[in-house]
Amino acid sequence: MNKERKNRLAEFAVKRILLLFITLGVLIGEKRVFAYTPYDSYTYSNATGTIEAIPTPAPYIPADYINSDRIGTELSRPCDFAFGPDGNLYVVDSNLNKIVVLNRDFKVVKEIKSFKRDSKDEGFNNPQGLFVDSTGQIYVCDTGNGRVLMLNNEGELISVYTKPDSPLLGADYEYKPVKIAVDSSGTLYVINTNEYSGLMKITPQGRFVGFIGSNKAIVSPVVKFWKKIMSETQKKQLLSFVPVEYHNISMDSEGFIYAVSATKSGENPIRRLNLSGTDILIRNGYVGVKGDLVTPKTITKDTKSGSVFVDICSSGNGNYFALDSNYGRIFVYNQEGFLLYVFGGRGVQIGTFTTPSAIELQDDRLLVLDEVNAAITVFKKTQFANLISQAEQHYYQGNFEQSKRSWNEVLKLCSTYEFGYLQLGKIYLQEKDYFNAMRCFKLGNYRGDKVTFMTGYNKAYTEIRKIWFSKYLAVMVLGGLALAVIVSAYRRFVSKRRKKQGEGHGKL
Amino acid sequence: MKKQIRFAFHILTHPFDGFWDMRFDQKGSIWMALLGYVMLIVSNVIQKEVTNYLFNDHAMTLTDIGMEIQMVLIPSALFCIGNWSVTTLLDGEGRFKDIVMALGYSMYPLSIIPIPLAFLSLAFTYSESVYYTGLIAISGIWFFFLLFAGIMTIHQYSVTKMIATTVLTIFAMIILVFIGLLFFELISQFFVFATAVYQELSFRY
Repeated sequence: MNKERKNRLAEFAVKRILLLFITLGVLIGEKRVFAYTPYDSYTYSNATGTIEAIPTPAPYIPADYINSDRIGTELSRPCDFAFGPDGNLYVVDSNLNKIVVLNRDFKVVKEIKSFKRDSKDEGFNNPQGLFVDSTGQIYVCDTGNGRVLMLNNEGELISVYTKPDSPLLGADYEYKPVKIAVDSSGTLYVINTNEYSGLMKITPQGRFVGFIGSNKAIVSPVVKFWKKIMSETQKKQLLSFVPVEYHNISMDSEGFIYAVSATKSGENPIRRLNLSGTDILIRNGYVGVKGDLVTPKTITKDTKSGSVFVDICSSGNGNYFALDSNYGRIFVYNQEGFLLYVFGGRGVQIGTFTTPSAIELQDDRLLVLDEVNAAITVFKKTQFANLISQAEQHYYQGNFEQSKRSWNEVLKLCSTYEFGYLQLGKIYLQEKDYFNAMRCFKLGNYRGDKVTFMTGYNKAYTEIRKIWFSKYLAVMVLGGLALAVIVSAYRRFVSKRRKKQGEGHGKL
Repeated sequence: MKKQIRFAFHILTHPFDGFWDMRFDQKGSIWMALLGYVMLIVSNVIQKEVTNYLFNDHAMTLTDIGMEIQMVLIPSALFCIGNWSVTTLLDGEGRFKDIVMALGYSMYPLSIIPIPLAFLSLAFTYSESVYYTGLIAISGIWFFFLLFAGIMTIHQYSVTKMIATTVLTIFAMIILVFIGLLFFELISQFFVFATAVYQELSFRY
């Protein structure tokens, strides 16, 4: 009896301890979800007539911080990086004059410090930018030496592009390439230091074709007026073109060039250039594709208003990520020009930057390079951003039902996300559910296209009006007729009575 | 009453004749003129509340009636005072009351077209937007024409003199705003100072 009880007690204790361990294990092993990020995430709305920032859940959260210690080799001043077709990351360091190749886990695969040219060893001098094409060839802007180098994947020199020989460029033209992009045919698009007339287009053979993507000079009436008054010398001092200083370019998956530039207000800092340099970016969003639009209330000397973009990258589904160095923010637009979300900031915590210089996207990982900190911040997508891209993908594939479900999930996470309502409205419109479409377009602040009248609240309203008219047209016509009859009868009645009264007066 | 309404419509259709009668034959009434102001306020509220979402930039904001009243009365007061100050110096024959009345009667088109239009717009889409914007523009042009004719008639001005006084009136309005702001700022500064002194004293004793 006693023994049995003891046994039972022991069994009980063991069970208890086991249970405790299991609970502890579950607790420790639990994947924790942090809601906190060291930056604000938002998007812009103009529903009330003025542009306002609308907070959103964080679309990306910092997942990893890669600095020299993690990589296993020294990084001093990394200026630019790019992914190769093999998934390796190529980082160019302008201070240590080398290219570091990292694998997916950010471990050094190799370092390119020098290459053989005419059986002589040569190195880089202050290289500022690089580009890796789809075959793995590396193009390096060897800025200090004034040339672009084309290396194969092993780091062996293939060709050198020195200053192109062209009458368009004077003899004393300074050629210091800083950023580069190469299209599928091997044509080079180069940003030169202090070049204000656009991107240099250079053929694979090294011939200079011309500047592309320059600003068109638009003469305002005021300038025209002044020109009439000015003397000849004053006229000569007037700039014949509007300068554009490109900061960075990147090739998108369709072979167009995304370019970011420093601009004065009124110009477009983000452009998508076709190969002849025409801006083909679609700007259908609620607000312009211009980065920050709301000036902070406290502007000091350090906090300038507006965004200064330093790099841009695009994802396969047409979204593009523009990196602002002013506030360290990342602006994500979709291919229609809608601002999806903004995140990131300046600071010293992980997830914020001191001097952001480059941005790249690999699958769902977003990498931001910080030049002075010599570190890469890796961001990962949250549920919120995931749902948005799923919803968009489903929409473009025509799976409206799934897209609708995803958008509803998005709106559960952020009920003020106007773009979600807009897309829901489009789906309802497709499904001919006009009342819901109207409701969603109103919440999504989308009145519709004023040229084709094919979408938006306007379209849903037109359809409802059509239905309403066909239903009540007969009633309205009949009602109108009845009203006319009644009015005329009343008039006749009144005039008759007046006549009678008049007759009465006559008699009296 | 019926006569007054008929006179108001007479002004709308025959402004020079109507405003002459208003000024020199003592026709019309100040109450009918003030009705113009009230109707404009009502019209503005209705436009913001009723107009179809497609044509309404204020559909998503709450309408503040106090604000609406201010938006009508403050510019009107500025105009009347500004115009009166200028025209008394430039031998205009209109009295202050006449200016207020002329402005009030001129405001009728700003309510008699937009109020029905706000309801009518519910049947409009972007394909008919030209009618909406056109009618709104007509009401605006009508208003400015009436105001121009009215002020010109009550002061017995020629067109050139009228244009000159209009420019001066705008200038006077700007000065009024400036003086008003200055005054407001001074008063608020004074109050801040007074409360500070009071606080200081109350802390001490």
